[in-house]
Amino acid sequence: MKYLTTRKYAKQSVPPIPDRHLVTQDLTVNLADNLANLNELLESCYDIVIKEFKIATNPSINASILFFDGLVDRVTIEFNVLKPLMFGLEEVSLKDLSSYESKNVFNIIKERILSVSELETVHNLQDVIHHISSGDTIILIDGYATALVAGTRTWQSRNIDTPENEIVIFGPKEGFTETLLFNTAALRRRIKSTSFKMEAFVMGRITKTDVVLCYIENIAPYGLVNEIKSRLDKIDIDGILDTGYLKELITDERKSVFTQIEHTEKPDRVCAHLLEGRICILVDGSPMAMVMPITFPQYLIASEDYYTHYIPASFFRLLRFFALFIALLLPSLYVAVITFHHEMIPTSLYLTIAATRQGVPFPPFIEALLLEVTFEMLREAGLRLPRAVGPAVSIVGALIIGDAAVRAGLVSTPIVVVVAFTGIASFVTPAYNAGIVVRLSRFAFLFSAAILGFLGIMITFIIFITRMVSISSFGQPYLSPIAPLNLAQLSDIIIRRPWFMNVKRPYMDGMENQRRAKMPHENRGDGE
Amino acid sequence: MVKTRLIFYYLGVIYNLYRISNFQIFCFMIILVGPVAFLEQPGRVISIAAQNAWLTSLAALFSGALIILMFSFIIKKSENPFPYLLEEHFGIIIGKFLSLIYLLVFLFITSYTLALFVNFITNNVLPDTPISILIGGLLFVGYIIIKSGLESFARLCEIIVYIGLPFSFLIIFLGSFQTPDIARLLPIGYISVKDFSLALVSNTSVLGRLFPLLTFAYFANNTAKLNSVLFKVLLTYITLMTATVLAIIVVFGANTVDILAFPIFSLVRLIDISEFINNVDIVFIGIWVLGIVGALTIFWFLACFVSQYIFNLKEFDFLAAPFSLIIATTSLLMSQNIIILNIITKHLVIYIYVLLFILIPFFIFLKSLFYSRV
Repeated sequence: MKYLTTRKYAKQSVPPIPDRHLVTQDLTVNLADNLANLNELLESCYDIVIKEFKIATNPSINASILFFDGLVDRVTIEFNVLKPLMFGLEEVSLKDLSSYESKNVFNIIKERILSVSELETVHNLQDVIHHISSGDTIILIDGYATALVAGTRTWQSRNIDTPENEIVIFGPKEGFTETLLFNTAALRRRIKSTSFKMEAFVMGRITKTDVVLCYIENIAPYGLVNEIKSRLDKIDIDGILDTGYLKELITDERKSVFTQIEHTEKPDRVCAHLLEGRICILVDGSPMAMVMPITFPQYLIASEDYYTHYIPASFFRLLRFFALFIALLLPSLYVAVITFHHEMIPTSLYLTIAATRQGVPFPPFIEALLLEVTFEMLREAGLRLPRAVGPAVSIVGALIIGDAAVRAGLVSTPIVVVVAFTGIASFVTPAYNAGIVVRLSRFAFLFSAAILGFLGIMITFIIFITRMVSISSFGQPYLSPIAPLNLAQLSDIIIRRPWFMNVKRPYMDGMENQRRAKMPHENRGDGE
Repeated sequence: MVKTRLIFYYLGVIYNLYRISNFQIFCFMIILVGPVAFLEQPGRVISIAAQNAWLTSLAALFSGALIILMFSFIIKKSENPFPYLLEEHFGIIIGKFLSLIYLLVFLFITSYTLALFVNFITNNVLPDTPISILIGGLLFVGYIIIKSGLESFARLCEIIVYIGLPFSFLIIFLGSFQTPDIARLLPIGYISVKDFSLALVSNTSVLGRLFPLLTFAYFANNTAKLNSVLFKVLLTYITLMTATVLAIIVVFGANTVDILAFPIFSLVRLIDISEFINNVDIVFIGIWVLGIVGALTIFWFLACFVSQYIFNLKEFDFLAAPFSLIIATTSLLMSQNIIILNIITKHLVIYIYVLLFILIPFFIFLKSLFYSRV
């Protein structure tokens, strides 16, 4: 039936598609021709505004402006573009104008009449389309095969807000928004250096999305910057709507669940990465910045660590490592101990657990699996439900369903405690992406514990680690500086190194400028 | 012929980026000598040298140093890694023949290590689990490791050493506090020369397992400091073995050890902390499995590497799959009968280690010393 329906639609007459070569054509000196071509290209675009008018010269010159409604600042267009062109030529004497060659009228308009800060010229229809789609206004003048582009971009956007997924107590609370310019401004405001480079790309055959590659020259390895640029250049896709699209297209290991690019909503975190020689990619329409190369241990570092004293920061970092193991292994260890190795725990404790398990119809593995799946469902439901309802559902799920399941004798109390504790531990990881890996891997450990107990856990652990050590993020080993070992860097991974000792940036292949600070005594030496 | 291969080999090294750090070499070597010796060596030397076994472990420092110097000299004087160096020193026919023997021995040692471990597991921890499942599981892990490449394997070895080495010392430390009696070490030095020599040979033969160094050294990114790395390996091994043997003698006494199948395992079972943490043997086995997997995979990897030389293959990692079948079958056959495994452990393995990992390298050493082309 579906097939027939599709066929039915297929038989309908298809409207003529504009000549695809048209878009690559250059502008002509004839305004009417240019407008005809643009009208053909922009057919059925209800938001396009094309205004034809006459420039107040003697004799008058025909001209047109084009823009997409909703993307432009109409006040700027009316007061800085239309008004000067239609009425503002009194400031330039007619004598001056008539004395110029006709080609110079264009230059006078560009240099003396239009009062917009951003003004450039384009020569073909493709550029015209790109600029009006970006919120610029195109001015076409009869007799010239060149169009003027006035920067009139403005649109409604979300206000800069605290990132929802990266809550901090200390440090900046500003987050990225969906507007690329705001995001680049947030970075530029923090790094006031000419070495800070932002290279723009337009990606997506249809969406023509603006993508910006940010790095600090002389700190980011030159080879790495070129490698990322070449990977971006190779992308040929119809549209880029979020950083997630790019992520899968430029990573080293596309099939791996281990994420090799960090996503963050915090400009200060991006700046910290840039200062360590990493590279950031911003995509218009996405509030997430991508940072690369990234290694797994860095997911356990919170930007807040560097805003607080190094001793509590180090404690919390160690706590995160501990929580990572808890989140990964606790349910499987429980299943292994209760199913295979109950001699490991003291008799009194085992008897207590055994008493609570009396009457429970499921083996420990099924119990753990059921509760883990339920917990994951509750977590997903909490994320997707409206904010007003989400927390309520989570509480109902956690308290009422858990309590009811225990009372009904479907699960035992210890497994509820284990799963709840695991759930809490999994929230300790600052990076959401890394948390997903842990959540998925937990099930693999659970299955192996049910089959071979502790031995199964260790076998899965070896496979887990082997997979981790075999992947790299843009040439950086994924588990570095743990494996391969780099003691100098490890001291700023396991704990938070004090700033007065943090004189070197983390090493990356090809990095030439590794020194980030001078030791206090070196500064004293300079003063003397 | 050799030079052509050398060029081909180094091109492979450069393009596959097979470069490993000295610390990774250290980890490889520790995994080779540590885990198996940790399980079987204390019982073996205590049964020979009784309460003075720890002295023989210490004395292995000197014999071990000689072995290390021998390997180091061979590496310096050879242009090619093992097994290519066999052809370099003995000519193509003997070189290939010896390589074939080494291939069989590597497969045998992998199977033996696997059988020993599986037998230990089924006797002590998981008695109802079919041997085939355990063998299959461990071989699957080894296969994944080999397929992931030497660089990844080297990084994995680092993780294994981070976890395994501190844990081994912790076990010994905790174990030595379980009803120790220093008097069990007495009388010190009361030992015949024969027993001392036998125990010393036994301890030294384990260091023959450093033989894969002849291959791995050529992948190292800094060969200048290789000697220093090897002496660190030796010191770590001697410290570990001496501490283990001392702890076992102090806790059980030499006479009791004679009737224990795996004394270190018995020591682990004794550990009791505040009457709450006890019976941690499964944790010990879990950690130990890391080392065993590492050790058996190194020899398995070498078997593949040697095959590449013997059969002039362009790649070798695809051999991991067919070799896994051979290893699985052989280890299944060994595991079926504990007597066979005991005979291999007590009478065969030591001779293999001495002959193939010490005497043949010694012959190469002599040849390099007296007939050096340089």
